Amino acid sequence: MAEPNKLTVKMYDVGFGDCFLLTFHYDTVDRHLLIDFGSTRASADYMKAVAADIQKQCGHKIDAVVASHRHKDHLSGFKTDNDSANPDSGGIIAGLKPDLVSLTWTEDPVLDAKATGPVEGDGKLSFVSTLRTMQRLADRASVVAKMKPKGSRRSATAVELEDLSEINISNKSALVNLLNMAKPNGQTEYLHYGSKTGLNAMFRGVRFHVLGPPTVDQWSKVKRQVSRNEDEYWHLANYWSLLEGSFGNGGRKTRLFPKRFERSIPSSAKWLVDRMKDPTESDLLRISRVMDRAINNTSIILLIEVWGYKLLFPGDAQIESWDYVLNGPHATRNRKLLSDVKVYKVGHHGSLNGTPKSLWNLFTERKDINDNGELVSLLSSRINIHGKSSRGTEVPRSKLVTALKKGSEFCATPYEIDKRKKLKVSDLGWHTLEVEK
Amino acid sequence: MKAVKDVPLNAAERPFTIIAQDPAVHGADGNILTTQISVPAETLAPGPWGYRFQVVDYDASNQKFYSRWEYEKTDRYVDPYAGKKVSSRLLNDPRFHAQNVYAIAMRILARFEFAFGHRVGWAFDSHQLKIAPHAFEDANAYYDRNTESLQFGYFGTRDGAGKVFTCLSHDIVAHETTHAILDGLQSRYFYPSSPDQAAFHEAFSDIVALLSMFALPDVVEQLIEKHTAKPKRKKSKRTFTAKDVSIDAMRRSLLLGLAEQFGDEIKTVRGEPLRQSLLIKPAKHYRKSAEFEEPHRRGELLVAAVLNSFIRVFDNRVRSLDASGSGLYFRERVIEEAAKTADHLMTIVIRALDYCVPVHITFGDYLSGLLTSDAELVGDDTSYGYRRELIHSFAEFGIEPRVNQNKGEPGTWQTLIGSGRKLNYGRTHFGSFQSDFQEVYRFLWENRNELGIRDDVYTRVMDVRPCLRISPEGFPLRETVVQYVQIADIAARELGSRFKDVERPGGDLNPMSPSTRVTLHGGGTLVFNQYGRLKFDIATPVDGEEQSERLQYLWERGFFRDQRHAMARGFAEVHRLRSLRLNWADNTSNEAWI
Repeated sequence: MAEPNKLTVKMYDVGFGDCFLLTFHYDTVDRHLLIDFGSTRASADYMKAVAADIQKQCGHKIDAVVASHRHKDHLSGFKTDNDSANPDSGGIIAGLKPDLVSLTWTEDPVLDAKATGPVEGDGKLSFVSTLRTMQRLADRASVVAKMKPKGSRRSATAVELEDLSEINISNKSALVNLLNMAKPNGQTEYLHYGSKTGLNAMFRGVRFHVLGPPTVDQWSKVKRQVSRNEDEYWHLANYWSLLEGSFGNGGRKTRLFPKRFERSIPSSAKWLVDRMKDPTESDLLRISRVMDRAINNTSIILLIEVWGYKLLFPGDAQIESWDYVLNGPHATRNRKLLSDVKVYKVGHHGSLNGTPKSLWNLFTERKDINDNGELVSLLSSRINIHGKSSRGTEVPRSKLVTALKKGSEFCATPYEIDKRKKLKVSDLGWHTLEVEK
Repeated sequence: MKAVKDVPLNAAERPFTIIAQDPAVHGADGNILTTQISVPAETLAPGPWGYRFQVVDYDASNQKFYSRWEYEKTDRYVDPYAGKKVSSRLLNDPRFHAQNVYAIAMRILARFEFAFGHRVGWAFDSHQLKIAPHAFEDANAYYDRNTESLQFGYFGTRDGAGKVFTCLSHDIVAHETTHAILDGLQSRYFYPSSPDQAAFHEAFSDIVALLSMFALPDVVEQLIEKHTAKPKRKKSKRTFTAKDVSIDAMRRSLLLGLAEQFGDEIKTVRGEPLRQSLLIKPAKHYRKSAEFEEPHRRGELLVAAVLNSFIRVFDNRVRSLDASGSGLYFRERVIEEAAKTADHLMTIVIRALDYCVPVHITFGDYLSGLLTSDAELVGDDTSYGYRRELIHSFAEFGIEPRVNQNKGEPGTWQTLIGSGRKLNYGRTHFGSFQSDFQEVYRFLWENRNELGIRDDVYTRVMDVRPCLRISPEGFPLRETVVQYVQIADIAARELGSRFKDVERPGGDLNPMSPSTRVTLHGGGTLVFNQYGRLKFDIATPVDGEEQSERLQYLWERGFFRDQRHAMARGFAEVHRLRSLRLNWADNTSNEAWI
């Protein structure tokens, strides 16, 4: 069992999200690795059907599970109500008893327990604490976003806020499930840039390079990121916890000066009054964007190498995280390592910040520059699912999709799926990629 | 100091009680530290509404309009809160908050107009700036040109027990008011240009806010008393020892002391930079480091340079108090000197704007403006050494004056009087020169070659300001300040050809496409003396070599790829980013699929 002789990559259509089952076929056994299992566009039944298919493929035993980061579109499938009689998607996966669960460093319960508030002087704790506060805020933001003012249509801001906060809400059940899955006999590991992962020992003949996420300490060493230091996270945490106080009341406002107000607005003041806006929604949206980005940048970036054949799974890592890989202390080595990638899981569902141009330009297997190029790109999302192309906010970004189509064999969730509806069991579909030694 | 309850209607100034620093700062008696300030008198409408400010106390989050005080019910100008302790009752009175913002804003505006010797307009077409003291529930406060207003937010304390009102923090109100005034004076300082210009608006507003507080004797007294050891003998209660008033002791009590008093919660609004600039130690290398290229960090350098010169000049003044060599200093006199130093310095800091370029300001330009504005009025710098200390403190932070002339005052702009430069005055008329934009434009046109003004791009006279400034000795100085801009909206291919000294950004590696639209801004400030002769020509040409560096800076930050974004941000966003300490310009945007 020195090395596998075949590799199957199964990309499940989840509408919007990631779900990849990698099977390494050895002479006598198959070994299975699940990378992410989440969606914002699939019903619970659909996810259960996906889980059942994974169960079937693995023969009731999975070797390892990787959850790149804690966004809903990457881990909603791990959610479970622990009903053993009728297991749901998360229950089914837990039942496959993985020996190794790999999570990102910010999920380490040791940090979680300590990070109760902003911690001045400790970058890691402050950062994790900030992320937790952000998510509590996201939970509330999703409530605010859904509050429809009487007799009026919801603004574009509210719609975007709802989408964003939906992804960012704390998926407690899924996370608890992931943390417990490998107990009692297996192992749970927390990865960051440069970590040695247990995946290497588990999958003989396969090399796993962990290229992300950088920790706060690593990050602050990048010259260009110098202002993103501990202090900054402390500040973020401080700000978020203040806002939390303000929106604590289920999004309702506290009354100010209950006895000192005028019954009607003087007409002389109307010019300004008409122009003043309650910034709640736009504020929440703005900070939700920062939060979204921060959590994306906690994504595990995995580079998998088997017989020199390389597959890149960067989760939702965005430009800031890639900056460390491409311009950090090991830039030269990393750039060389990445240049001959043959399978690229498109970062962050093809958003405009998920695939840095300098990363794309590194790929030598691109079909647009190499007649014998073998690059395959995998995008487990439907085209044009979020945002508007007129505003340049569509996801996936059409300019990137064009580049991907020109430069690689491009696989994505079928366009025909109705993006307004959730995926049903009858929609179940996938792409399969088979690679032989 | 005893509070004045009221003054007659014919008084030039009227008193208002305000919170001296912010509600977290208490005086020796344990009460919230208040002070009474005088502002130019006017008969107020409810709000208060005056001829330059209108307080509109509408809360957009609660959709409530809060109560107003009827000021002019008697035949005297009354300060309704004179002598009152600020208790929780007063903190819960929106009318007191309204008075607080109105009075601080008026005081800052009056300070500007006094320094300039001319009225100051807004950046929009109306006479009054609106102020909303409880605009929304949010940890933010900002100036917004579109709504012609200052908006102050409020938010809950972390323990949920109380509220934090940004409109009660002196420095925040002063800071926002200064943004509005600066925007009225130099509307192009908000344009993307260079790291210095990006930092300037915030830094300048911080400088005015801090000096405005140090100019209040009550604030200085509280800070010095708090940090000076209590004398053992009753007799020495009225004096300080030399050790008490050493420069290090003063730096500790005034700068560090003030920094300490910036509360945790309000910090999220005013951000860390204000505190940092009080604490930062001088070093020349900051300006070149990547960390200080970020606008908010960079601004700290300018603020710190000014504050260090404040402490040095104050020290010079304190030394002169002990003429007899007794080693003892009267407390009251020391406090007075600190407030006086801050006040003088504020005049210089403000007046310098009349000696600065209207576009693309750099810290070096500003320093030359500071030195020139002071040298014009105070010929002899030997007594307290304002200019000497400014040069010294700025140099410690690696900021050199834009000009390094050998003749005359160091670092000041070169005067054109007697320089032999041939300007044609023959076709313009002196009388209309002080107010008439057309007349001034004619002068520019006739002398365009001499002044380096291109005739093939858009050129416009922005402002003509006749000024009357009074020196500390009482001598008047009459000047006319003219500002013009030149704007060239061109394609990148014209760089290097039609604009031969300006390089196309990006180099060979990442060149800007020849068809990219680029707007170049140039312009100048011309200062004419009382005889209508050009004294200073302070300009940055639209086609100068310096434009290359600016374009490259903006290009690297993705400005040309995402102009829509950069222009739409406004101060609300700038302040948010400031408080979060995030980069406002994303230096990785060349990587995105925009």
